[in-house]
Amino acid sequence: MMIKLLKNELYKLFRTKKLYVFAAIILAVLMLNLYNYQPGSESTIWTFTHGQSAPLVLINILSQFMVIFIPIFIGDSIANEYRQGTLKLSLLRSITRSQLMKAKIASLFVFISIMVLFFIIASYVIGTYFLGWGNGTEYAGQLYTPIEGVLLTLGANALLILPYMAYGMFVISIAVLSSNMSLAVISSLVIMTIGLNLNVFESIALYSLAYHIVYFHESFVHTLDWQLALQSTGIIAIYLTVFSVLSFCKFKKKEILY
Amino acid sequence: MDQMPVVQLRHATKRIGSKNIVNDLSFDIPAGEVFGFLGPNGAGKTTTIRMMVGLIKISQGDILIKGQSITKNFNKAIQNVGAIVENPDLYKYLTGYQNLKHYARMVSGVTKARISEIVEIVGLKDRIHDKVKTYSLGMRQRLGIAQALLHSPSLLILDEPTNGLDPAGIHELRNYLKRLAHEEGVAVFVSSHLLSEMELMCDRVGVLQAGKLVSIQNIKDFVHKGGASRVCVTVEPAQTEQAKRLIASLNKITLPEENPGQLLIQMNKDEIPAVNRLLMDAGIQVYSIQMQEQTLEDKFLEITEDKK
Repeated sequence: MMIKLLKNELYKLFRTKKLYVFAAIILAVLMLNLYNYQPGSESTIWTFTHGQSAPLVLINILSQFMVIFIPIFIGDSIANEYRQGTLKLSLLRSITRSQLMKAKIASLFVFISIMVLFFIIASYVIGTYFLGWGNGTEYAGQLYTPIEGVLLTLGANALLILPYMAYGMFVISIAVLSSNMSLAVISSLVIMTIGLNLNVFESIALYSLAYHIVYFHESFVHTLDWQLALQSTGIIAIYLTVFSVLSFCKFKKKEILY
Repeated sequence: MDQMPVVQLRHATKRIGSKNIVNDLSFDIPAGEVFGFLGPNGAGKTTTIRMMVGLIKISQGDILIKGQSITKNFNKAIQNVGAIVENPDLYKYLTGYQNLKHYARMVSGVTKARISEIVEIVGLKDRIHDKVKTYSLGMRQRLGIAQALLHSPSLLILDEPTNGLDPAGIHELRNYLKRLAHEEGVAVFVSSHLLSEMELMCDRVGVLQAGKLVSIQNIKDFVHKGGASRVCVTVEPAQTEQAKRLIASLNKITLPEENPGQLLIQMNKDEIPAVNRLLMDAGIQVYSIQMQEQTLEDKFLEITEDKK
């Protein structure tokens, strides 16, 4: 049954325009950033000269947009479905609310993975188009061979899926509690923006989800610090667990009034 | 033969704060019956339906579907239910067929042939591959009924099912629901404010007033029982007052009537000959005597007014 429920969620994901609009936005932002890009010029903070470096160096662009895309995706999948009454019809079937929630979380994972993969491919293509492939991947002052660079790029982007999922669970809990798409999207964005601004305070940054959404991969690929990496992973796991438990409990008890 | 009612409400109560929205409902619906659920706006009809399908919690009591508690054994209970609650809310960006496939995936055993059969039954064959956003309200209602029937449920719950349907559609739906109940043994629970429609469709009705069940009986008994009918007597207009005095002498109540020469009298059918004879003997010219059967609407208003 879980596979069928996931199939339903993915079917809806691919049938709506959201995914394609988000992909187009990513594409447009990458184009704007790399068109007329001059390494080391005053108008940019980047210095990379090889196109293959783009998906790793520009990784924060994806993070910034995922902070917006994830609430919209979840707001539509949970709060909007609740308001429009389509969630109600699904709950009249012989499935548990937990099963439906799991399917929605699994579809969130697929959505995030697609966006990450799309960002990697689009960055490689646009970076190579404007700068050429180059003889290695530049990252944090080092030059990696193309093979190492690709692995590093895939690894860094894959690592960020974990904080994205934790953020997704945070948004799901708000969507379940508020049952209102606008409220879920706006409150998630406001809280995350405040969190991003608080990242300047080093003493609390490490415990902030907003920090890890942007920098989680760095303790693994930038300077390998296992203690910091494990600590960061643990903190994200706590966020993931707390918001998962909250979402499941609230959804299970929720009175469906629309 | 299985004698267990398909639906059993046992003191079902919904409480919000200190207020009972639905209060101590207890009734059964057997297989093969079309049960009408009547009540003015805010009486608690939709709340009752939401409790019956597990969308909201039951504060007290229980509801059993084919012997399975909707609260304790939700999955087993709900697999016997097909329902539309309030509106047929479907995915507007999907086609009718994609919607049906979506809901079919959530239950086992619904084949493509079954989907086609249902589409044929609800009369959406020509438009099933169009997006739902292009459908009229009536077509959405039909599609909603189709999704409710996909898995051949033992209990069909329909909240205002004739909303948006044209007269031909209402006629078809009524016949289909009656056939479904009487030939296939499905228990059909219909909530509606269209009383004339309920009268034609239902075998039994329950009336809800301020969360309480104030009446539950066979539709024929409900409409006709105990009630004197209204009889419209048309006489020569100049003799109206004389006729009224004669009728009053029989202790019959004459209701106000706007047209000159017309008298509305509350009495039983078997009293008509005596009244006619009295008027004739007094030289009153009687042009017509017509019985006005009490409708479900009359009865419904009578009950709900009485219980206020």
